[in-house]
Amino acid sequence: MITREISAILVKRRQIKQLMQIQKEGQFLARYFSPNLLKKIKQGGIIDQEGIEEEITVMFADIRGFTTMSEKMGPRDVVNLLNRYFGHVVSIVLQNDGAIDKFIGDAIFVYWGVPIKHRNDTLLAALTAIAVQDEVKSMKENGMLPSEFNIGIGINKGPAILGNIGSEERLEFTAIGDTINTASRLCGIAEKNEILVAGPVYKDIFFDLEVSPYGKKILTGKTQEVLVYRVDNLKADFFEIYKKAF
Amino acid sequence: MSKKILLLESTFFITKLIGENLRQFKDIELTVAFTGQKGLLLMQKEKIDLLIMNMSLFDMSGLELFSKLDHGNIEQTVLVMSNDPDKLKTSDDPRLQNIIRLPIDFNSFNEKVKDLLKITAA
Repeated sequence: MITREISAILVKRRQIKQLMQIQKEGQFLARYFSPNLLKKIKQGGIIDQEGIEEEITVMFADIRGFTTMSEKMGPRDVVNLLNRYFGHVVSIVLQNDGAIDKFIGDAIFVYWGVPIKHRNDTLLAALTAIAVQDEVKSMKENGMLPSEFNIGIGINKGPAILGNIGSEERLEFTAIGDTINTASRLCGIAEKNEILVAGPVYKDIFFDLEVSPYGKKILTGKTQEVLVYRVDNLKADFFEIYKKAF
Repeated sequence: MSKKILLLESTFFITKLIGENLRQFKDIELTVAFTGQKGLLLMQKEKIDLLIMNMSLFDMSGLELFSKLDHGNIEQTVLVMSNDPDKLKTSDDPRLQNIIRLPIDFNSFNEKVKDLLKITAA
């Protein structure tokens, strides 16, 4: 009888721990998804699934020369600068229904395509990249960022695995796979103010954006060449294209 | 007669998006300021029919701005934008009765603007 009681207590404790974990994940997810996306995630039960494979469009943005810049600044100034920049970027990403996977130092990793599919997620990602580059320019013009602050952006599209990854103590809902690695490498080779995209992105954006060939590149960690393009300009008014993408 | 809207928002893209959205309304005169300080100067110069503002500005918080409005005896109809509206709803301040959650759902935004300015879209 005592064994049965102890067993019941242990089961209850495990259930409470699972409920707390789910609640913690909900609060955690709210930091990286807009309320609209969060609702879809909860409805679709993605948070509870062990893993799904979906086609997504991935964007990485990071700051050029940040290590050198931060060496001249005190730690508090570094944090303030990063938070000011990220505050603006996050506003733009969430407004454009992007899902923020994570911040990695001075980089941000965002994706589109899950849980909501828009008319053209790839175009939406590219427009967000353009908006972010413009935002940095405006922030510098208005004294919100130093003049030497510049970012490079990489975008790729393809299949990815999404799920809760980690351990019982710390789980993270994240996307992984070669599609993500390629986007990250493209960001790594993008010069300041550049937006580089991989071949699969080109066909979804060339109609509305001026895109020029950047060449075939062998990216770090890869053996095969990747066809790379650079986004140069809009072909029409930003908001005309924007409405089409949503 | 035109209705004057002052938009206080530090994210430049969001101001362009709101500006583009407000084009559907007839007889709206939109002025944009990216800092609270600039907004205050504008409100001291002329009467604004509607202040649309982010509660988190580059140079001050929304509550700091309200405090400065009180000091200047400036009464103002306000539509507040916030990513944490539940926190604001606990306040008695009448200026926090009209809140739009960020990111903006433009259907709700437009309804609030029409209601506060007593106007219709074009």
